[in-house]
Amino acid sequence: MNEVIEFRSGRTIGNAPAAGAEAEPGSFRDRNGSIFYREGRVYRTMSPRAFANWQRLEALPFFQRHQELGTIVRTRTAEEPVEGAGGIVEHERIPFISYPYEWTFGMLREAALLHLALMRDALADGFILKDASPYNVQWEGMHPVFIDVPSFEPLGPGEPWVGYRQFCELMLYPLMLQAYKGIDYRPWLRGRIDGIPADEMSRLMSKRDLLRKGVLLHVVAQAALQRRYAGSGRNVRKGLAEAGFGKELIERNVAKLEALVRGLEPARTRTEWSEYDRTHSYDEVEHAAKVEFVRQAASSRRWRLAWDIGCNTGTFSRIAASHADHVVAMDADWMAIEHLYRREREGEASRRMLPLVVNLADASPAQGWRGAERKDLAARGRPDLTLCLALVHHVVITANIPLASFLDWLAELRTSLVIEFVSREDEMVQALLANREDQYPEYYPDSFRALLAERFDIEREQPLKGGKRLIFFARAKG
Amino acid sequence: MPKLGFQVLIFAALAYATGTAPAHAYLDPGTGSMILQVLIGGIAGLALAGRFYWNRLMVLIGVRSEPPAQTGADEVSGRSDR
Repeated sequence: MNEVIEFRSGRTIGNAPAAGAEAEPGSFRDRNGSIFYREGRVYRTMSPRAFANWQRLEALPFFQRHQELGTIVRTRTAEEPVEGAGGIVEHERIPFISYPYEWTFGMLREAALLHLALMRDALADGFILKDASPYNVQWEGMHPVFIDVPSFEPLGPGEPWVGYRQFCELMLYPLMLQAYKGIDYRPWLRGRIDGIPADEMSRLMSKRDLLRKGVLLHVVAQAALQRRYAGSGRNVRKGLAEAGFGKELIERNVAKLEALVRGLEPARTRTEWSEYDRTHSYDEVEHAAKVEFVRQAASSRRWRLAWDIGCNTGTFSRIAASHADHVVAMDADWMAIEHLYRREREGEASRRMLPLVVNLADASPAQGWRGAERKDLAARGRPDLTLCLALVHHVVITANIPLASFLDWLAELRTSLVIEFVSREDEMVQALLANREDQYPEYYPDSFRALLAERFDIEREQPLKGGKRLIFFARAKG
Repeated sequence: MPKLGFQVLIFAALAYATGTAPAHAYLDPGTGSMILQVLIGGIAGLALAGRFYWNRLMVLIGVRSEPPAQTGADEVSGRSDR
């Protein structure tokens, strides 16, 4: 490679890395480097300072240990710096980028614990993470991978943990919100890229919550101190350094946070958990027939990326995972996804299956700076196989999305499709229609088949559940 | 709340923090959040708060002069391009 990105004094000169390369629009906040893609591979430019840090970092025992474990994205030098310009490193590619507002509780907690473990290990080797964003954690299936290598910097004497506030706003408070208040944190994280400020979190806490672990210190005291010092312009950092602030204080904070985060569990879930053990309305014979249909379709070739939309607890995602490099298993019900995550994370397919909380009728949009910092679902990787089982009635009747529009969206993905039509005779549909106006004249098997055939080539069709449901295997046209 | 007296002491002590030089990170650590990291430090934090307070007091009564604005943290943390 000949392209070297020029940096002077840590400032990027031009943001377009090189011919044939595509800059990552979400990689701009830290000016010491940025991500670009070339020929399907992931590179990162680094300023001279960041590159010097990288060279120290890659020799450290903790870093090498995490490289072997795969908990820090595998990284190598692609290009040494030349004459004052920065260098380039290559990262192993993450199969599918996801965001904290799509993760289930257990995943956000795992990401937070990884962050704290990396802090602890880095501090032992004289380094620290200079920020604390959960967006710096991605997933290899159900295993967290820290991706922002230049976040590791040498820790100077007397330096505080700069990322502590960010850790609270983007990881600790969302977890507390779910654990202590039973409130879904995902809309909060999706609604604000910087998370929940201490002041707002403090206002959400009742008097009783003050007694809960971590609330007085990390929420209320932090909010009060932030108010006290807002706009003061005082250099506390310097004062703390002079008074002898040392890394043992950071280590102590990290250890306490680890214990706190580890103890957090989603509120009011224990009794509902057991309901997820039975997840379908089929008898065993009919269920076996559906499984066989999906297995045959999935095994017709090897797939690069499969989506299982409306995956519930992942019965069919597991089948797809046997025939695909990666499966993104999505459901709007976070408890189903949590169940899937907890049950499968030690399983055989756990490195190929990514569970996400996604409501397709209101899926994660492109957002952030210029609407490009965070990407919408399809922009992060189109599937070549999509499972859409026991979902279409929820889309059309519950969410009131026209059937043709839903099939259009699927067709735009240019994916092969296994789709199940749940007819009006099915008790699930009858329950949905019981209390609403029937404004779904297209919701019949014949019109479904016709609309599907306009957009896909139907390969196979089979009735299920005594004809109350139909399952199709279809391929993208052309 | 056994820790409350300790916390009030530290709140009071840290209220004297003054200075002018900007912090050096692309991320704003938040002044209040930095101070809280002392609170979390327990006994070690208390000793630190004592020194912090003493330094401020010495400056206030004129025994000691305000230290230079830059502490050289950039050099020691390898953050300089020089």
